[in-house]
Amino acid sequence: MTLHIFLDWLNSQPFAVAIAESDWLFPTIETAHVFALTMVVGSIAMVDLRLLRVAGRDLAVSQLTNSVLPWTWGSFLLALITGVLLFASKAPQYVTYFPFVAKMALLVLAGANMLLFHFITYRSVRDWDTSSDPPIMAKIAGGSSLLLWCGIVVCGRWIGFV
Amino acid sequence: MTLASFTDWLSNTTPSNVIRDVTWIIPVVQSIHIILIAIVISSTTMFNVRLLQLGRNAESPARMANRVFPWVWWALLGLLLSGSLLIIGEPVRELLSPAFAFKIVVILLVAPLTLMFQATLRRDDRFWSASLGRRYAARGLAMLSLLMWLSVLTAGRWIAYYQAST
Repeated sequence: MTLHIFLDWLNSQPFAVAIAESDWLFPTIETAHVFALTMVVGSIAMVDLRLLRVAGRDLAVSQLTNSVLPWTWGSFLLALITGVLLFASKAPQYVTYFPFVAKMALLVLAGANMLLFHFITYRSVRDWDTSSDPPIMAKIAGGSSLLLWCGIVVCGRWIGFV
Repeated sequence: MTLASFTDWLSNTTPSNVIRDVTWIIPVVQSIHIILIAIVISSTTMFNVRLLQLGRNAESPARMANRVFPWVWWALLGLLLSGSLLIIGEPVRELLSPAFAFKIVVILLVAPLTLMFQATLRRDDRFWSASLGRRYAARGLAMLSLLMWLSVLTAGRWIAYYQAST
């Protein structure tokens, strides 16, 4: 089954057709998507800025991540669901848009960066939880994460203007 | 001078033309605007939800307020500046949209409410937990604040969908 056949199939599903043809469904789902993405980017930025020692220095890293990560995961789930709904309404066209493909690639990179941080750098967090200088790997993770997510926002906005 | 004649005049000024003609200006300013929105929405949402949970063990509202509010105010300033550039660049699109008017009105209402929360907690970090009445009031106002910030976000996005008919 080629990608092309899958996209056409997805695009012809009743829910996808409804979203494409309705005056208000797309804008409403899109608004939920925007809210979800502001929560994802905002919550991730809080941790990144802490890792970079730009903000929240009086909070232990582990305490911040424990309180913020549920927000990140929950919002990402909402962003994913609403994103799939939006995508389905115009799937064959979206995959031809450069900003859409770029956004997906950046999401993969951001995800990989987070996994790397979580499974490797974060394991030693007890050594630097409240320290005045997190290890260089933590700072790199925070900095790259911020850059990647800014890129994701830029590409996401750009999709609407193709 | 009507709003329509003002937007006409503004569209013909040099700054307006420059913002429109230099291809990258509006996309960059809009992207910055979105990133700043993420700072405001995530901070106020987390803070308001924390107020709704008064009584449970978590970061105290006062501490969270100290952590997030400086960011909120700087971000709002940035939003005012970036927003002004967008208005100067596309006056008709922004100023004549009913969604834009709604957005501004709600911002003018929710900003003082947000400031009030910050000010009360700064004076007394147990202000909203002091009595049952205060706890209920905090929850009601936090809910209101949440809904208002969400309305601002929605209205902002819907500017694109509610344009003055040409």
